[in-house]
Amino acid sequence: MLSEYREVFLEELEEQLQLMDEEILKLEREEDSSRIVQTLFRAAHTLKGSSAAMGYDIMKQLTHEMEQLLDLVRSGKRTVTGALIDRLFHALDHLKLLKLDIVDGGEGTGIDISVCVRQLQNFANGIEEAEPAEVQVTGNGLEKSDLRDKPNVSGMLNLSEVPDVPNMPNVPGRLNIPNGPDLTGNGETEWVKPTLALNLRLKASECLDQGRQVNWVYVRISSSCPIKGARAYVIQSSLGEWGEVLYTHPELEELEEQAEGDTEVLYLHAGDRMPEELKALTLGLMDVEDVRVEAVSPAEIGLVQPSPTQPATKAVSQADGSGSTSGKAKSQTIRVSVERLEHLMNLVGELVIDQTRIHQVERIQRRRFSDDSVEELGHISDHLSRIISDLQESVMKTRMLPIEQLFNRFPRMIRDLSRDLGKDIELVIEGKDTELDRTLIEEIADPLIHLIRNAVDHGIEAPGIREANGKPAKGTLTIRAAHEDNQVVIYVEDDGAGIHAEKIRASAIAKGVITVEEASYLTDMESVELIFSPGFSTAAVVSEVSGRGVGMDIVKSHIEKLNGLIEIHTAVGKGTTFKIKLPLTLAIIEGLLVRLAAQTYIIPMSNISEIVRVTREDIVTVRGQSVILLRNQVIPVAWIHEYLHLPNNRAEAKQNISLVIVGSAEKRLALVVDELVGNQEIVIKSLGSYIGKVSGIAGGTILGDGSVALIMEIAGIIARMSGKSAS
Amino acid sequence: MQASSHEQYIEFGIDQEQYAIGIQDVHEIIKIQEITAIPNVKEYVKGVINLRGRIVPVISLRCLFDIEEVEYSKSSRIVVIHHQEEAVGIVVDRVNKVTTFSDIQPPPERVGGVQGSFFTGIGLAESGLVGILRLDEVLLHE
Repeated sequence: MLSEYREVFLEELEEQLQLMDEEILKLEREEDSSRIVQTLFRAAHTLKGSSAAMGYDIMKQLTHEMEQLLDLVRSGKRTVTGALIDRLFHALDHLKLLKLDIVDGGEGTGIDISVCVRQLQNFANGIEEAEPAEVQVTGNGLEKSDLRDKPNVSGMLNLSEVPDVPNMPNVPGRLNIPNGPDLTGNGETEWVKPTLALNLRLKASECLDQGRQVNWVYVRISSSCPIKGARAYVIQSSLGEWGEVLYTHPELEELEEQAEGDTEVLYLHAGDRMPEELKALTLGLMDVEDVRVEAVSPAEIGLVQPSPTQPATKAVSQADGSGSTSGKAKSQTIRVSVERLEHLMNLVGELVIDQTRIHQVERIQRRRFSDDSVEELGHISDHLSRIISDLQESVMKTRMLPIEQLFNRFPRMIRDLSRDLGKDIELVIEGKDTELDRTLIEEIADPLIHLIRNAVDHGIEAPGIREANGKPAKGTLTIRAAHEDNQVVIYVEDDGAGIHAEKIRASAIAKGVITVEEASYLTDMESVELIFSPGFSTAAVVSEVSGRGVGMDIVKSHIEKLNGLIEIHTAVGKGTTFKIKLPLTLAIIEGLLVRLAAQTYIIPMSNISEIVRVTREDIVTVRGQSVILLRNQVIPVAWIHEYLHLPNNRAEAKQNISLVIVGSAEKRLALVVDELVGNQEIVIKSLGSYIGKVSGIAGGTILGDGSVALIMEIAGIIARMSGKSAS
Repeated sequence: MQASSHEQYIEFGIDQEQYAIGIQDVHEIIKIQEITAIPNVKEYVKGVINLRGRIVPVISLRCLFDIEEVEYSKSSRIVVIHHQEEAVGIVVDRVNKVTTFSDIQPPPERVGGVQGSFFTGIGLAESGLVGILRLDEVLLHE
């Protein structure tokens, strides 16, 4: 199930239905009718579009009919009459029923709309007929009296009628169980099974997927048992030994109070025992009078739910229960505006700062005197910091979304791209439930799409060439997301031609990105990194696909702006992998505190590749530029003081120098710092619009002592220093 | 410029001169605190301070008015003003009082070595002439 889309769709549906409700009511009161009809038409049109996109065909059909009719009214071909309003309400009620079906996990197929559709059509065609059958909308649920007499009454649970719903790509099939047994046809069981909440259904289907048995275990506890509630617990724990109890009905807490006569409890049990075995075991328990075990039906956990719209007796007996179930299902998620979350995050940020300050005060106090109250302060401070970090994590989680949202756009994109380019490509997506900050998802979309386009265009070869090179004609593009030590890593991997270092060098020289002399110093790996240089594009012919004016340099700088890193690994003939590392969130980062000329600056940890201590002699001058040789790699050294206009005299620099190496691969830079202070979590604050954008500074933060420290913008510094560091 | 006797101003001093800002623009007045310098910005932007968790930029009027910078003294204050929905601090040598002016004259071309466009007018007070700052010009001076 495209859960993300489904939620969004349901939200929209809810809004539009509400709107329709209000508008039809207004229409009835004969307020400015043309505007209302227009609004209704638009609402129906919107729903038609979105339900079609979601594959809810019945809803699409109904909204289509509403749209048609409203269009006629809009153009004056039909007038607003009581009959019209009745029919609109009638249709709206059916939409609500369809919505309930979808909320309950169905596919919006369980409701018969034929009568309703016919009425709409008849009205549109000018055929008069009797008033539409009454639809009663009650407080909790909806009871559809008119459908009771129709031949298709049981059709709402009749799975054989489920039409082929056009599935969106990548829908995992396991919740779509098309041929489950008909619940209502199950005549011998009279006991009413409760409707399962979504999480239980998922859990149950998961257990089934693992090859376990999922059974309803109905237990009647003898009326002579004096402690029925306790007995029910004992039974539950026994069942727990033979597997896992997923759910009980009623809840055991409720049970103790109403212990009169026979007590009946339903357990939802998952385990390896077969139903008969389970029954025998359960019967062997004390005070158990009767046991019935029945495998859970796919319908209960999958496609179709016994909804509050089910006919006759069950609907009545379940009216309250199912009404509250759908109410519960609704309240499991709430919509919160992003603004509020931002505000919450800011407040947590303040707490983080204050906590660091309290900690600092505590340390100072401890140095001065050590008595109980200082000890106490220490405990409080520790506890506080634990709570704050929990709080911070929770708030951060509320802002996290699965990257699925973004990844789900790719199958279609790849399909179109490969068709346009005449390539055969299989897209493999992994780890799409990896969560990251919503702003990051938005921000990473463009760079990622660019990388994918590149991979399809330049990476994966045409089928003919692939076969000639002994590779399968079908290329594979893998997009993978994962969490790796508190960072999100995204890989874009193709099994294409790889990148020829020599070609890149030649091309870079031709484009004037580097000189022939510079090129001769470059290793193959460094050459490949040249594709990230400004003004570089590897395609000999700028194609429509990747030649859209955004180069890899933009991709790189965009990722670096997010405090991320991008790496490239390539093997000629085998393929290319781009690895993007991103922080989990943008608001709070891990930073390294350094001292520069008695001022504290912060370097985001995500930019740092390593920290080394060298002696003055290790820094040498090559071609007018200070460099350091580190594991056979030449890294330019930046006297960051000069860039930041801080007092510094190179000649007076200490014998031992701390270097913070930032950036990655070809664009590395060793920053000379006076002192390393330590690392801590920092909250990024903007310097405000009055100061505006400052080159080399990403923002500020408030340190434990209450002073403000500036955060370096490493990407900007690297870009500027790489040219200037020679002086 | 019309004379006004109702509006209240915060009067403060820099070097030997007195200046004023309309009280409605003043958010608060705080003692000098540690200012973190920011590289690569306009010279008169002294840096930023932490105002109860907010990062607030601070500018120097001495620098803007081409008066020699001096060490901050005990009487030095930061006048925090509202400007376009943002707080900005102005370092002054001393804050005198809240005052009103019996008469306000249009500013001459130059006010004691400082360009006239920095002022909306010259207020006449018992103690002498007071330059009333035109905040837009002062804060956004290029």
